[in-house]
Amino acid sequence: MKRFLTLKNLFSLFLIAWFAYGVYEAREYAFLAKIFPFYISLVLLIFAVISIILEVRSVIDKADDLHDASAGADLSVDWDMPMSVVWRRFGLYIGIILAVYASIFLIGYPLAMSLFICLFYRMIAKAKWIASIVAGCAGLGFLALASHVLGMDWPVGLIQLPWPFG
Amino acid sequence: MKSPMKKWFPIFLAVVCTLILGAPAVQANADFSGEQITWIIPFKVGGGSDVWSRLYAPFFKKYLPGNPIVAVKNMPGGGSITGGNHFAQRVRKADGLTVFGSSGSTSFPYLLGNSKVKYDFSKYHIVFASPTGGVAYINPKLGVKSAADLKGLEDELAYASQGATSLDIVPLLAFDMLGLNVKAIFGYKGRGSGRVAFEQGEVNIDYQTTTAYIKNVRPLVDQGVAVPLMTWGVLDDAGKIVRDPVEPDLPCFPEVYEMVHGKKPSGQAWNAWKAFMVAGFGVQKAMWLPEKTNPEIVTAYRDAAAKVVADAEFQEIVKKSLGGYTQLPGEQARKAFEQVLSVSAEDKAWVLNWIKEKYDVEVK
Amino acid sequence: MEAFLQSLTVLLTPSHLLLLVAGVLLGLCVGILPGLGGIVGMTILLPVIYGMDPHNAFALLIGMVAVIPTSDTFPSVMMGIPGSSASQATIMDGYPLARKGEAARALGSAFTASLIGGLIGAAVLTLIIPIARPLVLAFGSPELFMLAVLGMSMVGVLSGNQPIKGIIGAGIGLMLGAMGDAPAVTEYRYTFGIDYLMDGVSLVIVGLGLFAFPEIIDLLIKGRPISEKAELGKGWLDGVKDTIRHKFIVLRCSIIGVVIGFIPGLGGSVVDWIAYGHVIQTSKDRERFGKGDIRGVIAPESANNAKEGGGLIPTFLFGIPGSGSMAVFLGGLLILGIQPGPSMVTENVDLLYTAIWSLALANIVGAGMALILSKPITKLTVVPFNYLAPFMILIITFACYQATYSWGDLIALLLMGILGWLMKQFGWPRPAALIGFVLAGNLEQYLFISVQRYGMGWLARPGVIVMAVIIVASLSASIVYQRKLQSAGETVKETVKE
Repeated sequence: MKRFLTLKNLFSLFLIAWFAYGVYEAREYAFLAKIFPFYISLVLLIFAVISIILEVRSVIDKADDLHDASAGADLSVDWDMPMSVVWRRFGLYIGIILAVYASIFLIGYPLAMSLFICLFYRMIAKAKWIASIVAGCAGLGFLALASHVLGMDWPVGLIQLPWPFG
Repeated sequence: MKSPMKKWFPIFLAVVCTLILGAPAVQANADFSGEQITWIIPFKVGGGSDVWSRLYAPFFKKYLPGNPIVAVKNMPGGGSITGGNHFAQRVRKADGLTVFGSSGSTSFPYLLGNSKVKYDFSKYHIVFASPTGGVAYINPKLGVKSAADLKGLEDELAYASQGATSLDIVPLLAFDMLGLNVKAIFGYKGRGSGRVAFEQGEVNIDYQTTTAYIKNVRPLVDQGVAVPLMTWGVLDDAGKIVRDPVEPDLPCFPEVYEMVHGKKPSGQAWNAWKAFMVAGFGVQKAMWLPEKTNPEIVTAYRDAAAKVVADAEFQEIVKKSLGGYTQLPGEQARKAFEQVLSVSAEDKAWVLNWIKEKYDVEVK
Repeated sequence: MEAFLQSLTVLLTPSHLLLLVAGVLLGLCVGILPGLGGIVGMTILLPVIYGMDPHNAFALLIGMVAVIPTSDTFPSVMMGIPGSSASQATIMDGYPLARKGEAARALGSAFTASLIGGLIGAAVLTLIIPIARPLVLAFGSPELFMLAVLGMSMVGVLSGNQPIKGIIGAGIGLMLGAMGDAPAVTEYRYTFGIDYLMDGVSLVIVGLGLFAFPEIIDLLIKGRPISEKAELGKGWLDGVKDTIRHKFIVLRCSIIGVVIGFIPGLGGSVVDWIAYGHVIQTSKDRERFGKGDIRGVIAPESANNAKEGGGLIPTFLFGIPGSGSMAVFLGGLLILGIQPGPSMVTENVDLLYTAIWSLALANIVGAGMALILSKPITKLTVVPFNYLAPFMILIITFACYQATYSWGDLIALLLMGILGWLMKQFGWPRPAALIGFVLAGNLEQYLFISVQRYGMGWLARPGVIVMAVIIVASLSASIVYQRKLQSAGETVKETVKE
């Protein structure tokens, strides 16, 4: 059982759950709106189940690596580090994005993004302060330009600041 | 020697009095100098309503007191419901700096009682309305040479429809009332694709708004591959539906009804049809001010609208791009839209029931 | 003939040319940024033409539209981010090339292909115009459905040796595409009652979320620049030579591009995938596709510029846009007071010719400018990614927000991004999902209309049968090829064992 519950298979289970939900939800739609999603979900559900069975039986695991895909189905994935490191870093960067989102919510987009760029440069890219500040200003400048010339908009935070900071 | 206080006091008093007396006068003059008006259009850039608003905007700048900039803000989504809800829920101030432009797709869900609709036209102040017309035409292979031949036509007709709750209620209900056997094919996007489907022979009865009809269908009529039937008609000053001046040779729907049934239209179907026709065509596009707007500001807008409509340069634009229909400013628009707002609950229920019975569609 | 000459005189007036170039520049500036290219960029630029003189504005508009498939190529090649309308298939081989340090070669080849493709497209169009109307009218809803199925079948060609994963990948795209309001009824599907999802998820968010986001994260995790090799390899001149070497691919794919491009309402979304699938199927050695085969860049890029030209036909002659960018272009025409439709062939056919050749000219200018820009821009592929990452995040979050100006956009981006990253890690093909997403609406809509109108009789229509044969042939060819490959692989393994 433990061997089964790899993250890879968990994702496959997620897909099965998604398609199953698709079938379930579509049951109650008006007839005209129902046909397509219902049958497509059903067919996909069947395929997803087949896929996970094949996976479990290790029938396709040999041909699984995208290295061997003869005509590209997607971009190749090759890590030169253990997967645990990959996952940890993934979590880190998602965490950073969430933090950025939270700050956008609080102080508005332009200021949040400028600070993010500046801090990212400083702390992750290990740049000098002056480079970081310039980068942050560049970001702000781009936003100001986009807003002024093209009339584009951005999310406003709880704390509302004067243009172009919020 | 008078003390400084005694010398300056009368002047101080005079200034204060002027300010107190003058303040309401400033408001009553509704002056927008140096301001920017935001005109919310719940449709995407380049769409029909977007073009409509941008044709009007510079003229409102010309005639609104203080000549403010009128900037169109596009807020598409949800078939225009999203923009409408934004206007209803977020625009509260009485300063008249934000207005809303609605179209038929905005009023129909409102009339049908769609639960997603949070806006209520009965609360807002209409500034002006732009009517349009619709012309229905049919494939000549069916042997129909004019609307008179529709009586007793038993062939099954196919009509390209965008949905049973869209503007297609007007043609579909009209065809139904005439006793035509029309199968609505759902799934088409946009009236233009209906016209293409007609040219391909995929459908054999269709309608187009007047501007599109003139440009795209008249050549087909000349080639003999389309036969014009009728127009929906336009509202006259008394609120009755009369022939469309753009196609004066074609009968309007009430006339055709009489041709087919021998009597003038009446009853719930007719009441419902009228209301939806007015919402979808008679007063198709309108500009609105929020509920709490100062009456002086509403008047200022309506006066400006009247001036815009009377402007000679603008009249050229109306002819070229707005179908040449008489635009309805102020009070005229309000009266016309009354027909939409005064639909009785029974007539609404009738329509909802008709949609359910005929097309198995429930409005939620 | 005289309309053609008349259009040439308009074309060569200085003001027209100047504004054409201005439009190209404008389109390039906005279009280069990932997510802001294509339709989003056009929508942003459209208000600029309000109030302009119609003739001048027309030139500006065409310049902007022409350059969309060109500028879209930059994010495709540099970061594997598919554009909203055109350069989607280019990511498959363009980005691997950039990772090998050959971004300049990919871009050089892409722009040359775009240029030649656009010109061939314009030439073919000019010849076809007399029979354009009946050709377009021949494509009714059943035929359009089959075309969408043909597009979907490209998933089969692309899925290589794992058809099931390809099907499910496409399925994920279909499920995402099903979210939102149904085409015929006011039923909101899979929206969880959230108003944001009433219109479904926007293509920009799906594209950026599934591709850009995971790529940014992966590059951050690796901590290296986009190009895995430290210095840049071949330059753009090599790319130009590559394209000229493969001129028949350019020719074939441009024709495919024009012909499919002028099918209304659908052509635009599938053309580059069909071209990409076509070049794979017609090549003996397919090993390197998906890993940086230059032909995988040439094929879609020739097709997508040709398709813009093709898309002018339904837009002008019928008022039905041939693709997403044509839809915005149509809006532009309406703003200028030009009402497209049947009258175009009779009254304003010179306008149509002007448009076709302006487009061709703008293609040349655009390709030229893009080539010049490609050298400095490709230097970005050797910059350590940490310096680029925050700006990339800025651009893509900003671009996504332009979809509906609501927080839902940002959240959707994050969720799609995580989904995309997981799909990439676990081997579920995202291009298949993109194809599925783009075609979902069309598939449902045209199937619907066909069944309602013709019952099941639509299956017997000649156009439908022809396309069905093509699809079956193409899929069987793929399966046969896979079997050959597998048995060849096993033979090799056995030989190695012995």
